[in-house]
Amino acid sequence: MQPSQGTGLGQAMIAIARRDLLISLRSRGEILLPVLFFIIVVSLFPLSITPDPTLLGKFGPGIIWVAALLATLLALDGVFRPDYEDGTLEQLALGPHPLSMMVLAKSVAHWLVTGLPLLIISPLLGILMQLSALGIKVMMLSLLIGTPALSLLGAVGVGLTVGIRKSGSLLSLLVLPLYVPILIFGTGAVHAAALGLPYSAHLMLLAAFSLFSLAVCPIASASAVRVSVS
Amino acid sequence: MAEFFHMGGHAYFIWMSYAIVCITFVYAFFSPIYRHRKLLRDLSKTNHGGKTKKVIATLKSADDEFSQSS
Amino acid sequence: MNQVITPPAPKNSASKGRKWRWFHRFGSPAWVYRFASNWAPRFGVVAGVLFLIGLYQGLVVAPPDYQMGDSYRIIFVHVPSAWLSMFSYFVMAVAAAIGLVWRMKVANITARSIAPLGALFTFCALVTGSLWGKPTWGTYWVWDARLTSELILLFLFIGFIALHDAFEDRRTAARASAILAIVGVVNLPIIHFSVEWWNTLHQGSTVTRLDGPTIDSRMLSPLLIMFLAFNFYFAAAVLNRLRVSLLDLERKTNWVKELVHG
Repeated sequence: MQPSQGTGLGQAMIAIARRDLLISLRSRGEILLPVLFFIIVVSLFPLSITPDPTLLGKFGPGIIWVAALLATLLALDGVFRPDYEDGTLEQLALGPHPLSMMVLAKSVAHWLVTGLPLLIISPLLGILMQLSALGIKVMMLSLLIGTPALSLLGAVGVGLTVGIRKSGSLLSLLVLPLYVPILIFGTGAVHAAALGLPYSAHLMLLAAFSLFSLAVCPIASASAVRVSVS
Repeated sequence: MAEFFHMGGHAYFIWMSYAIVCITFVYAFFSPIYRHRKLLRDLSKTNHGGKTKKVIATLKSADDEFSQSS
Repeated sequence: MNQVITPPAPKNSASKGRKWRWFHRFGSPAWVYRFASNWAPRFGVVAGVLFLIGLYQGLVVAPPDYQMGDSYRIIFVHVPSAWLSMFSYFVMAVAAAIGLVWRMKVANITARSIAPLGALFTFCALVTGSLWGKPTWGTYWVWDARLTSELILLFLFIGFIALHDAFEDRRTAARASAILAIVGVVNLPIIHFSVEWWNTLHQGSTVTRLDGPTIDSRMLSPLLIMFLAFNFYFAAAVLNRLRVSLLDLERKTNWVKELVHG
């Protein structure tokens, strides 16, 4: 594939990520909504289970991680749906640059819009969930390593379902089982830290999974997008 | 014989699991066969020209009537 | 991707033609239909005979386990179901990938025919696993590694079927679900590993392992026979489903018309 004279691959990727970011920033709800959802879901658990600090410290990491999964899922449809509806996605698929790289740029933008805000707000939730300082640190690390994989894997799911009109619950059915390893490694690290055990193995496995997703998911989501726009 | 069915006190669990596997397997094996038979019957009914022949016959009779009247 | 999609080389030399002939045959719905009609009953009969032998050996001949008594007899249906559930996901993904790469209609239909059977095996593995768990662990459900993996596998099967059936166009459905199956089959070992790992962290090794090396041969032989029986059953059931799907989807073609008329 020959890149066109006008823009290099890197430039095109930055342009796409920038465009997606700008669109999300312009409608502020798109960034705030997942974060608010994240906070509300987490704060429901002390009400429904128990406000007991020791128990919350135990359940906290899992609750925060599950809420992060759901918040990511909530914003996932926006990765491709608007572009699919106005034909931009088809143009990207026909364009001179490899579609996988364009899709990667869009996944990065999605992570910047949902994963990063979740990461920034997570210490607050850690405090609400009575996590220790170390626990909060490890949780932030695990979210930093794990949430990109959520966006990357999610992009595959959205690429597959974007051609279907009402795809909300189908998307979660497809994507959530694939999120299981991320959830296990992510919460495992925080649990290990809370027990005073070494937690680097968990984070390494999580990092391995994320890197693997980085290598494989853009290709898979590019072919998914090709199927959906054809 | 009664001892065999009793299964050392675990009769419920053992017979239940064998029964569930048996029922689902038999169903999954025979339902496509049944559907296949039904489909073949339906296809032979519609494809064998039951409808088409009727349409052609009515068209022909209409044509005959038309040519007779004129 | 582009260079892979080119169909197998046209028969320019005789040897090449022979080499690909079997492959081309599997691309022809009419041939596969006939193949399935011929072989499904035979596999079914073999499976039935093996089932009878295996059931007799497993329920009558095999002695009760010294620890678990008779309840261990559930493994004669549980373990083959569990194995077959994983195996059928793998076969489904391979069929879907062949359909995706070579645009082979029969492979796509095969993948879709396997999916419900795989879900069925997964369901059987789950139900028999929990029925075995009640007398062994005291509850119907324990978050044991194998059961948890099976549960996630069930979600993967259901996801495949749901995605496939959400599309109106058959070709789009086949291609999209094939991508999902490939992503799933790459992920499945990772999921399995993570669940296994998670389980050892949380439960230790309290769960009774049945796959020890010191198993009585009178217990092993029914397990192997049931294993074979399940595999033959799988082949027969897939061919049965494939046959009716082919007939249904190809109803407008000449070979179906000839079949129905003649």
